[in-house]
Amino acid sequence: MKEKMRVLIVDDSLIIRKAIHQHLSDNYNVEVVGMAENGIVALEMFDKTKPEYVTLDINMPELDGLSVLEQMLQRDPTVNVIIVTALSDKDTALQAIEMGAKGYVIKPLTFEKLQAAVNQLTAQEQN
Amino acid sequence: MKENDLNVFIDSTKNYFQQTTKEEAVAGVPYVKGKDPLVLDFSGIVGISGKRKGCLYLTSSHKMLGDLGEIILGDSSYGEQDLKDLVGEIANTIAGNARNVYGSSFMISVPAVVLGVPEDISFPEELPVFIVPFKWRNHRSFLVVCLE
Repeated sequence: MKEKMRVLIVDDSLIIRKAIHQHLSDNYNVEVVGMAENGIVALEMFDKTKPEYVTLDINMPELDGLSVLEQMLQRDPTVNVIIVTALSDKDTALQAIEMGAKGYVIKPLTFEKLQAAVNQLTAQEQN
Repeated sequence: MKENDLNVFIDSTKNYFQQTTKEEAVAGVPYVKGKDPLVLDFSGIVGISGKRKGCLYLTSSHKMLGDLGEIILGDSSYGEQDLKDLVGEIANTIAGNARNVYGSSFMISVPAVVLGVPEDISFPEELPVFIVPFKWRNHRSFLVVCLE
């Protein structure tokens, strides 16, 4: 049996964290190893739980998502990070992808968008 | 702030409702805010800095946020904290999506949330403040925008 995908969910919005958790749990073989409300907590959870996948907001208190992305990739270059953000400009999206994010989902979050990003990522991994 | 600027935020708000609920939110005729307070049950506020300066807030009824929460979570398991959080998230999304037009120099703060109707939300006196009424289902909400 294939092992569960270990996922860390990072977003300062409680309802978005819950929605992502619910969607991933309902549709994928995942174990949500943590949910963080800001960048500092996210890095602490990242070190403790060693997730393979992270959904990561950008506009957050304490430490922004791009700084978190940089630090996560320094600690584990194999981690798969999908950015989930309201920031819809091309520059920020390109910056995140160039830094090493594997997906960029622009809020408003819909299950279809998240599903497309996750499916694209898992398809890339299988190839 | 020009009419085109206001349209950016109107489109962004309509897009939020359309994408999240697959239902249309109807924008009313914008008007300049007077001295009377305009706050419903929950208000999400986002500060804007960088090339443009100002702020926006979305103020909504408890019932509207409850209906939205039910759609987002797929059931009625939401609590008060979720609704409080949700109004901030909507304001954040409306402002963040405006970067599609204004680019990355349009900086936005993390949202702050005000509960209840104890007092008005203050804006810089030298700038006009525009109000856009929205109707989604049978709920009303207001987008309030002030931009240099």
